[in-house]
Amino acid sequence: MRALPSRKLDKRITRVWRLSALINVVIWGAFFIIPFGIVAFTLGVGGALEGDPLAAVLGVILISLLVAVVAALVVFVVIVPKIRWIQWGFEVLDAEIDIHKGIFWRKRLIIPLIRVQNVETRQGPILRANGLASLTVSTAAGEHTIPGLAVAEADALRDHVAVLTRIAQEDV
Amino acid sequence: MHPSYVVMNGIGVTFAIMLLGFVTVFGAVVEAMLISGNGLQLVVILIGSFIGLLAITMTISYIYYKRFRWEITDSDIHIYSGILFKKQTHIPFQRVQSIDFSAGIPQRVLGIVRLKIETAGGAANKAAVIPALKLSQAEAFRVEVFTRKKSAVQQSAAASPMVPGVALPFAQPAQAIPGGVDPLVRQVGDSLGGMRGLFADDYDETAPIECEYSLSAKEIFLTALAGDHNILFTVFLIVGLTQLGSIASLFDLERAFPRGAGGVITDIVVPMIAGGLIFFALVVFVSGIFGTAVQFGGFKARRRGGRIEVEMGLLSRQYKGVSINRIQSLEIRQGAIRRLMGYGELRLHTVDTLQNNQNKKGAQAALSKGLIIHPFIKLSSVESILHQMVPEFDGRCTEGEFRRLPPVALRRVLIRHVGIFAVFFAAVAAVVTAGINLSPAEFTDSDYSWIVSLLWVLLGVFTIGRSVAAVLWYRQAAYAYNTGMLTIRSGYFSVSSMIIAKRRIQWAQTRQNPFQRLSHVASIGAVTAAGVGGTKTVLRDLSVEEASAYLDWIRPTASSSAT
Repeated sequence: MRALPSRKLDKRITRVWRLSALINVVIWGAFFIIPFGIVAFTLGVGGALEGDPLAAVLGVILISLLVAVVAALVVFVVIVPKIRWIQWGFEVLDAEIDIHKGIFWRKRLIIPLIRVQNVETRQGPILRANGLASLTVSTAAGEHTIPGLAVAEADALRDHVAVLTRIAQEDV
Repeated sequence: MHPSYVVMNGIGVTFAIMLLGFVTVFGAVVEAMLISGNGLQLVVILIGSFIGLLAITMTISYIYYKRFRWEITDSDIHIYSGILFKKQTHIPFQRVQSIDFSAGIPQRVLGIVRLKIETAGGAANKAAVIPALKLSQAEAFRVEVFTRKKSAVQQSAAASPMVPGVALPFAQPAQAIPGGVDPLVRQVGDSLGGMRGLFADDYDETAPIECEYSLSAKEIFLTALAGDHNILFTVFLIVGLTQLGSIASLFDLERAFPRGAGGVITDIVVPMIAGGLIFFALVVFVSGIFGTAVQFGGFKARRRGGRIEVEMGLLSRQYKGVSINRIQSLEIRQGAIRRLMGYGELRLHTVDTLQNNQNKKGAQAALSKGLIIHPFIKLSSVESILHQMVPEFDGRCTEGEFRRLPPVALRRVLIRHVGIFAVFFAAVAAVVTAGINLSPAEFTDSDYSWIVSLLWVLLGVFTIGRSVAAVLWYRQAAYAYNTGMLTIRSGYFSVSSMIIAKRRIQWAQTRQNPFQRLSHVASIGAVTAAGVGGTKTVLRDLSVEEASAYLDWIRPTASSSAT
């Protein structure tokens, strides 16, 4: 049994994950809660005062939705990015890339560098704001991304991998 | 392009449009005809629209034919096509992987083929097509392109001593690896020696045929008969029909039609339905057999000059060639019926390209089946046929090298296939039972207890079936690897062995879900470039140590330090 790959992602990636999770939760939360909230309030508030059972049901559903959103916020924004960061490990060795990731489904990937056709760094607006970049290697059967690396580190890795893969001339 | 394209395409498209139009406006036309009471009108309209459409489509086809140009230049194939959307395709010779022909019945009469040029590089690439060419012309085209490809490859190899030049400096850091031989240098050496090492790429039309075989009529008939779907379908239908009588009586038709109508229904309608279904089943079964026989009729496979070529089809004929260096994996598959007979099927999986009119999903479904190089082969002769056709796979694992799964895998497959299913099914049955028992008396006028017993019988049958499948899976699931080859074997009633050369594995993985972590097992996966965008071959539930050893086997660094 070989030890898990030891190199970690830049800690700032958790901020990026948190932000994108926050955006997702807010959008989905709004998607469910806003229309429902309008209905509940127009129908409910008056009715609840008069002891209307429908209003009570609506109120309960609305409250449970709110609770669900808060729970989602806690889980996806606070907890998941942290665990994901803990689980994510990688290593670029002389002849292969070794990746370990996943929270429930844990994956260990080996990508021999001799099979890598293409390597590139990418940077979206959120990554750029945090001074990060991602590294993507493409093989003839799909691509793999190491999501959060300091820009300088990503560039160095990209050049390193590019040099190693130039030898790989497989055509499939 | 051959001028017959104009007529063929014109007629083809016209028929397609007519059919579509007929289906959509059929109702309205019939209604109009009933009102006017004049059938002649309909015939006139049909013929008139056919001629009109034919004139239009043939004109368009003619313009397309006039504009269509292809040429073979010093460096590549150029194809100019299109009327409104003009397209220029340039295919460098080195990118050409295979040139395939196919022909429908009218085309075969005229000696015309459709020529398809496939290029390297997986999902992003689309194949180029020349819709109509004389067979002799197409053959000449193929020879010309492959001859030029060969000389182009040789020239570029001679002109650029770049590869070793690049390789050496980067060999420096890797020398620190214990074990002496630097894996990078060794692999570069492999890929240069004999063009590409294991899977050499050179095509020579004049090369002698190294191996060729065809199927006898009897073998083709058996191939058709052994199609799993045919027989399964028939079996289900027959079982269903024999039970039809009892089902009809269960529905209690007599009570539903109190004035003697029930007698009519059970005496006449049920046998009629049964007879119709039997007839339908027979038609499906026979046409299935006939269809497969036609598809595989005149099957021929040969190896020649670094390529595998397969021809088949009794009516519309297909010619498929694939260069050895494009083969990703070999599959030995035994369907349930073939297995009982002691026969199997050989397939090669290659990188597929998309045609212009195919989307990725459809192509994946249609093409990922691979190239059948023998549809019906006795297991005892697999060894010798493979040795002649694809000696590249000679180094595959022998039976003794296979490793089975740990016993916990059996427990897990039983839970997965039987436990969860049975619990769910039992819950449904319980709810139904409760519903029937608790519903008010006026609804339980008829006796519905048969539904409950039927549910429990079904549960029993499915549970037994699924348990058998699970045990079979456990008994045959196995994997093996040696220096150069990986074999993964799995299946339930059918069994399939996927044989993959190590250097064709693009990347590899192990995967564990929370339950697998509890049981201390993991799934392994090997991903090749086969199909469109890659194919993953997976085996569940190896012990964690063995899964980890598998990953170490994939690692270039680990394997060098081990040797």
